This record gives sequence, structure tokens and C-alpha cells, in this order.
Amino acid sequence: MTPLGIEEIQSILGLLDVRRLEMSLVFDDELFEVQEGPLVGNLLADLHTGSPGMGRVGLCTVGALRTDTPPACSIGVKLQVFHAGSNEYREAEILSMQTRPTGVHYYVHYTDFNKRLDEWVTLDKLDLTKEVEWPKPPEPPAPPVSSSHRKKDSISKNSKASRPQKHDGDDGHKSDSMDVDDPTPTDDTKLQEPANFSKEKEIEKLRTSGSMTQSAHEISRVRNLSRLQIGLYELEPWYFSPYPPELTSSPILHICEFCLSYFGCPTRFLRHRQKCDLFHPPGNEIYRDQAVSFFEIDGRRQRTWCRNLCLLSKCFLDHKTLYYDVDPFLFYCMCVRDDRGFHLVGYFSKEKESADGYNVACILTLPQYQRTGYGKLLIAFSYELSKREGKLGSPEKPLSDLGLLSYRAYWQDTIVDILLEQKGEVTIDELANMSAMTTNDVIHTLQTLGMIRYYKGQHVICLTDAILAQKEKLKERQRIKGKRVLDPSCLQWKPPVFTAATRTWNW
Amino acid sequence: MTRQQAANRFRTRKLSTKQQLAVVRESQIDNIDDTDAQRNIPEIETGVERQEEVELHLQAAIHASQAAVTSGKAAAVYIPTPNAEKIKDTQFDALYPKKFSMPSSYIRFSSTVEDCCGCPYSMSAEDQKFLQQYNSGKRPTSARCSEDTFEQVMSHFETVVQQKQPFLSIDTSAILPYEDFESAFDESTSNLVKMHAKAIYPYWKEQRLKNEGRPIMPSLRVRSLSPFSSCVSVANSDWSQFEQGTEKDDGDPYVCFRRREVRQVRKTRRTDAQSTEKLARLRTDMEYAKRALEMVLRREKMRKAAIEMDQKVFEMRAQMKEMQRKLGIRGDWEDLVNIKQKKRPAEQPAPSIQRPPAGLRIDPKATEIELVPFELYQAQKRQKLQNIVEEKVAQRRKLHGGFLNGSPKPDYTPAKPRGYESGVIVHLPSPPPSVSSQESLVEHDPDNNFDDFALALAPYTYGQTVQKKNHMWFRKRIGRGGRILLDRKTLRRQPLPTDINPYRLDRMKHHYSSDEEDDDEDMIDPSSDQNIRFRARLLSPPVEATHHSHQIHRTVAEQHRRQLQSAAQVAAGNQAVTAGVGQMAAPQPKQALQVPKALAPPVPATH
Repeated sequence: MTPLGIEEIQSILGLLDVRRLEMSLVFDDELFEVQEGPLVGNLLADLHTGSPGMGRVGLCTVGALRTDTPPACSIGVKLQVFHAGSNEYREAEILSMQTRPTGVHYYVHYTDFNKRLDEWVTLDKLDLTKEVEWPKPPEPPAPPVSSSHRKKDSISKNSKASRPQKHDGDDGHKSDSMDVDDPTPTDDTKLQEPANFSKEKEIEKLRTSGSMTQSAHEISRVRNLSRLQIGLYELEPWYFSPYPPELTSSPILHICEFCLSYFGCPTRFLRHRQKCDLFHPPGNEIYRDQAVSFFEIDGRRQRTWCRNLCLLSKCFLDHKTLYYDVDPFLFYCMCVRDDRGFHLVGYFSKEKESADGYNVACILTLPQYQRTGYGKLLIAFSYELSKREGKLGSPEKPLSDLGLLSYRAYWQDTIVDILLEQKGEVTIDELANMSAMTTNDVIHTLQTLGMIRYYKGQHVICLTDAILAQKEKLKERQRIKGKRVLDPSCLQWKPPVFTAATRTWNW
Repeated sequence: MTRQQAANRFRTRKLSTKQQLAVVRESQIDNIDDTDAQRNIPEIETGVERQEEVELHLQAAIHASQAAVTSGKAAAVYIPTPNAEKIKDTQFDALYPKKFSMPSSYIRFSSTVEDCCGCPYSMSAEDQKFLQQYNSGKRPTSARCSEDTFEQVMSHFETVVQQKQPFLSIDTSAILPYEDFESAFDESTSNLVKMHAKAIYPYWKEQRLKNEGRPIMPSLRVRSLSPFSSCVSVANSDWSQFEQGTEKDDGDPYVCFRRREVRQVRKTRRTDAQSTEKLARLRTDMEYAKRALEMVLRREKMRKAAIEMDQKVFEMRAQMKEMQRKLGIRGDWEDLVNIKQKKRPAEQPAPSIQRPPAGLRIDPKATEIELVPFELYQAQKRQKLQNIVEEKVAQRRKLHGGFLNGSPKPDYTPAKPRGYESGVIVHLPSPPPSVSSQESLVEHDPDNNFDDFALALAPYTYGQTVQKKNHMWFRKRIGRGGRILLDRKTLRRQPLPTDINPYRLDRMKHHYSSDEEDDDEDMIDPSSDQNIRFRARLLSPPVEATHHSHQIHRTVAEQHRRQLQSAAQVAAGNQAVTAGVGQMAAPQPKQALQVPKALAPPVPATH
């Protein structure tokens, strides 16, 4: 095919802003030279037919990534993007784009990375020399009817999708997933669907885990706040959180460390601080030792505070949903103290009555306090409460990656400690009762540690050398750094009782 | 044996949670059976979502820990997370001052965030700019609007508009005018707020409209209005109405903290219903109490205002007086004194028309008109009696046809009043026929004329028992100089004094009547022991009082009776004189005993 004239290129790249035009053109010219005709031909054909080669794999120009509305839509495109953290190009999916004064920015999700590493990148981080994968067509081309069909479908999906997340509370995931299971729209698209955004997968997720991210909704896939300032720290949020949309435009969201109110405007925040006379979470202190204090807060009585807490924690918990209100939960907040007040370190929420025997709904150590042993302390506290209640408990699923690691570490530590004390034989039930862990969690721990062995026709629990060595190392480290431990005698707490009226009328 | 070994070897038993497991060290066992070990243990999910479980960093971390467990290689692998860094803000101490003092006991706390944060509105930089501009024109600092006041004003606007126009964001054209906010001021609104509100209103309106009618302070979207995409904030809005049909906001990720579906309420148990009722009642009661207190507050405030006003008036007057003195003006004294306007007495309903019901106080004037003077009443009564008597006399004259009646029932002329009149004067009609001494032995027919007359006169029908023959009669009368005379029956009668002590009278009557029972038929000997004793007793002070009380109630009747009797006695006395025959078997000379007035014994009444 003959090379294109500049007018034609311009018509293809119609949405270019004048200032960036030259650079882009230079960039594009190189591309054309390399790729010769077919690509441009494709592009032109796509522009004429109205779909830029959807569902296909092929090379792409920057121009095709310029718009976020069909036909030439950049959203959903998978391509190689340079990830600064690991210093390499990785496959990533474009989730959103934004035109800023400094140019177009793309919000990308790196495949096999956690969503918290999703980020905004500039155009130059995209590797357009490699093939890109266009998103699958939403529907086989039968435009008017099918598109409406699709829309309806996606709405119903959304409505289900947003619920089954792990919120503090969660009734009837399973029945919901059954409702969604409507095979007709998926059948015809099945064959062409690549892996990235499939309804099938979502349904599968619903079936298996009873939990699903809000990914079906494009807005909530993208982190909406840029920075948080809370107390002495400035944090980068990890996930979307439904703070009032007006606040998403402000560069820093100020959060009052004590009442957790949020302010986009620094003056507002300053004024608020002058008026706010809270110095600790607004509830009863139930535990205090040298290092930390725990507060118990009822979601019903402290609705505003608990909502604020949930909004904040949603920034760091992907599987939390704020779909429903906070009433049926108790919040246990861990604080460190100084002469400014009680600083929130982390918290866990707990259903007032859990049908599934969960002793934790959501659990979070604020990022500024992570990796300092507070997480383990939080977990230990949740089990301490279960011991007081005389129940076995387990955290609500799904766990996040960090959650899993933390729990595994705690479980290992606890079980090994018990076994070291134990002389002779022990049953799994006994282990569970001593640790307030469910038997499933005990078995799970023993299994991942490879401690269950079969010896002479019987199962035995084997404390392996490696585990003992690890334990020694941990002790050594704790001796140097100091270990965070709970003192059960400092816990002044009776399991709260909720009356029949509370349950019936939700008082 | 071999078979069992094989079974052991190839089919490991299921791991039971109740099975006793030996805790051993690795050195204590050999690893031969290891491969089988995991076979019959159920695979347990990690609890992480499958899609995320494959994530690179998690896998790396899991592998690392696995390696540590199996081979003892310690490799600390962390999952990378975005940054969290300390800020270097010099303002920090201003934001979070070091003024917290740790209580020694565990904290107990129940105030809410709203309680602790003061005014819910916090001013923005823009607000500050406006306020500066607003204050710059004002010279006296007192006229300036402080930041706190400004926030209170804004807060007032926001709250009121949220209450009155919760859906302002749908249509901003009809935003509340200032007057509505002014009317929403209540007791708690400070004067400063009232002072500045009007001036701040245009600014607030501009801000609110700029925000498309939504609250100026960003607020959470708790739900969306179903037909519109706009959202309404939480504060003060009425939920229930919009609870239904919120399907549409399901997809909006910014809508959060929905109310849970209301749990199935049990078919109302009685106790539940009762307690609801009780609570409702309690609530209304509390509201009444609250309202009452508010009224009291208002009253007291008005009172205070009135007092202040009085004081002001007083001070002004004092000032005026001062001025008048200084300037030599002779003012009207009325200006200096409160002239209380007397209230006109409310018009009373005419007493003749409306008689107040019994038990109520009667207007004295009204009764004055009603009441007949005693004298008049007496005269009327007298007249009435006179009429009757005269009628009878006339009748009898007519009957006799000018002849003199020689029969035992002689003609009768009414007794003329005595020289002096005191007490009740009763003119009695014809006395009973005079009885000769012989006849006196004969029992009288009770239905004699006298009784007829007595009946005709007396309002009560005790006439039958009035007269009993053969009784001894004593009368007390008061003579000139206040002497009290005790007369026997045969003597000429004097009108009775009215001031007889009814108690005494009753007492004596009692004694007498008991005697009467005994010697009813006997001839009475006035000189007999009994009679003498009786007379003596008449003059002695009362000895026993036990019988008094139950007879008090009879006193009214007794008085009437007394009157009648005395009248009868007068007539009888007259008769006795005219007939020349006493009732007694042996007529006695007059026995007049002088007794001191204080001991005045009563007249023994008869039955």
C-alpha cells in the first residue's frame, strides 16, 4: 500500500491535540515505516467499519489508544507496559484513561500482580512495538438488539457483582450466584472470548468462592483517590473507596486521625481539627498494656465513626464491600498512645452474631504500621476474644494475599508453641480448643507445614527440624527486637449480649 | 498378616480430629511412609480467591515460607505495597496538639463523632476569603463575623435546606428564600447568627448552586433517587420513603452503606406489641414534658424581658425627673408613676335569673334581696295564724247562731298578746274542753278538739303525743329583771323565752320521759319524793352528758314541739283558770323558784 499523506494520518488520529501532534506524528511515522501498509490498512478499515479489530491480536498505534469511547476504544487493551518497581516490561490491561494537562494517562493493571500495584502511566511506558490484544467484542455484530441485551445483562451482573464482596456481613451469596447463572447470553460469545474479561469467569468466581471483585464496574476498578494524609503519615491508597466523589479531585485527602472525618480542602481540615476534641476511638477501652490499647465500638451506636473507618479501610482492602451499613458489626480498634492521643494502628470488625462462626470479618493494619508485628497482635487479639467467648473462630473468607500470609504466620507460631509444650499425644480437637482456631485451620496449618506424617500405620505430628530451626530464629529475633505479646489479664471484656429485640428489630 | 501390612501400606486411615496423635521429632521417625501421609487428608483451600492466588508476589511469598519450613532456608519475601511515608509538616503540632493526658483507668466513652466535632460545617479557603471581605468593611470589631459564627450560619442553612428541600439537587430553581431560614431560627440560635445570617445568605446560595444543589461539604452517597442519577446525602433525610426501588443504584460504586433489608419481623407477639406501645407512650410523655419545659422557658424569658423593660422605664423616669429638676419643668406626676388601669369587674349575671348551684358561694347581694327580714316573716306568720283563728271563730259564731255556747266546748276568744312580747308568740285556738275534777279521772278521747287544732296549726304530726293528762308540768319563764321563774302547770302562762338551751332541754326530757313510762297511769303527787327530786334536779347543773350527742339532731324538731307545747300549755292554763278546775288532783299554789339566770334550767319537754 502506498504511504499515507499527512492529511490522512491526521484524519486517523483525529483526536490529537495540536501541541502533541508533531511528536506523535514522528513517532507514528517510524511505526508506519516499519510496519508498512497492512496495519494502517487495518486501522482504516476499522475506522470505517466502526470497530478497531476487536478480539484480535495485532499491533497498535498510539492513535487507537487515544479515545476511551467506542469505536476506537483503548479500554481493555492488553499490552506490554514498563513496570518501574520490577524494572521490566509486563503484560498489563488498560482500565482507564485520562487526558491531563501533561498528556494522556493510562490506568493499567499488571497481569498477575495484585490490584494494589495498578497505576497511572504515561504514554511512553507503553510498548507499542509488541503485539497488543484487543478486548473481545462485547457481542457478535448485530448492533442494536444485542447491544441493549448486553447492557441489561451487565446491569444485572453489576447488581450481583457488587454484593458478594466480603463485607462485613454477607447473606445469601450463593442464592445470588444462582440467579446470575443465565446461560443464554454467554453461549454465543463463548468461543471468541479470550481470558481477560469474561462473564463465564465471573460466574465461575461466584460459584467457587462466593466472592467477586467489583471489576464488572469500570469505575470501581480504578483507584479514585491519589493520596491520603492521616495523622503524621501520607499514604497511597491501594484500592477504590467510595468517599464522596467531589473529593476525588483533590490531590490529598485529609483524614482526621481521631474521628476519621475526611476533607479535601486543607483549610477545612485545619478548622475541623480546631473543633474536634476526640482523642481516641469513641468506644470503651477493653484492653491496655504497655504498648497498645484496644477499643470496642458498636457499629450501631457509632455509625459515623464506623462508616469513616470502613471508608478508610476500603482504601486498603480489596474484598471489602461497603454495600451495606455497619450496624451488625463490632469494631475492635488497636491504638498506640502518646501525648497527642490514641493513634489508630489497625482494627478488625466482627459480626455481632456470625452464622458461620467467623470471629473476624475484615482485618487491617494501616499501611504505615505494617510489617512491624501489629498484624499478628490483632489476630492474636481476635482469638483471645474467641477464647473468652468459649468459641472457635476463623476469619471470614476470602482472605487477601497479605491476610493469608499473616494468618499463616500466626497459626504456625501458635501451633508450634502449643506442640512444644505438649508432651505425649494430642488430638486435633484439643489443639483447636487450646488455640480457639477451627479444626480446619489447624489441619490446614499442620498440612502446609508438612507436619502430619504417616508412621507405622498411624498419623503422627512431626516437629520437623526446619520448623524448630525457624522457631529458634524467630525467638532470637524477638529477643533482639522485642516481641509484641498480649496479656490476657489486661483484657476487661465480657462477650456482648444482644437482646432478642435487637436481633428482631435491628435496634 | 501380610494382607494387613499391605492394607496399612496402601490405605492410610482418614485423619480424624478426635484421633490421638503422637507428637514426635523428625529424628524419631524415618521418612519411608511420607509420600502416603498427605493422601487422606482433605485438601484445604487457602481462603484466598483463586484468581489472586496465582498472583506472582503471593506465590513467591508462599514458596519462600514453604522453603523455610521444608529446608530451613529463611528467605523473607514481602509482598510489595505502595508507599506510606511520614510527612514533614511543620503544621503538625497545630493540627494535633500535644494536650492529651492519659487517664489511669480504662476509657469508657459513648459520645458520637457528631457530639465531639462541634459545628458540622468547617469553612474552606474560599469561605475564609469571603469572610475577610465581609469583615473588612466593618469598623467596630463587634460587628464583624467570627469564623465560628460564620460556620454556624452556614451550618444552619445547610441543615434547614436539607430538611425542607432534600431533593434540591434535582431542581435548583426553587431554592429556599432567606425568609424561610429566618423562620427556622429557634431558641438555640445565637444572636450573632441571626445578625449575620442575612448577609451571608447570598454567598451560601451561590455556593450551593455552584455545587448543583448538593451539600457544600461533600457528603457520602447513601442512596440515589431512583428516577434520577443524583444522590442525596445522609443527613436528616427521611429514608423509608425511598427504600424501595433502589435497584438502580446497585451499580453505582459511590453509593454505600445501604440499609439492610429489614429482617422478617415475627408475627407480632403480644409482648412485643405491648412494649412497642409502652415505648410509644413513653415517647409522647417525654414530648409533652419537653413541650411543657419549653413553654416554661418561654414564659420565664418573657418575664425577664418584662422585668428588664420595667427597669428601663424606671431608669428613664429617673432620668426624666433629673432633667425636669434641672430644667425646672413642672411635669405631670402621672408620667412618673405607673397608673394601673383597674380592671372593670366582669358583668355578673342577674341573680334572679340564674341561681348558682348549691355548694357555690352565693353573691351576698343576691341573697339580701331574696331574704325576707325576720320581723316581716314573723308578722306574716302571725297574720296567718290570726287568720286561721279568726276564721274558726267566725265559723263557730255562725254555727251557734248568736246563742251562747253553754256546752263543755265554750266559745273561744283569742288570747290577746301580753304586756310584753318576747320570743315566739303563738296565738292558740280553742283550748281543749275544760274538764271537771270528776272528768279528769276519765281517760280522754285523744281526738278532741284541741288536738284537731294543734294538728291544723302544727307543721308536724306529733300532735297525738302532745297532751297527756295527769302529768305534772313545769315551765320556766323569765320575769322582769331577768329572773327565771319555774311555774307549775296550773299557773297562768307567760310567753316562753326563746333562748332555751336545747341540750339541757333534751337531757331533761330524757329523764322525764323515762319516768313517764313508770307512772303513766298514776296520779302524780307533786309533793311526792319523786317529784321533788325531779324539780330539784331541774335546777341543778347537768350531771351526765352521755346522752347528749345522739339527741342533738332532734333539737330542731324539739324546738317546734316546744313552741306548740307552750302554746298548748298557755291554753290549758287559761282553761284551768276559767274552768276553775286544775288538772291536778290538788291544785297547788304557785311555786316560783328564783334561780340564777346562768343555771337556767330548760323546760322539760313532753312527748
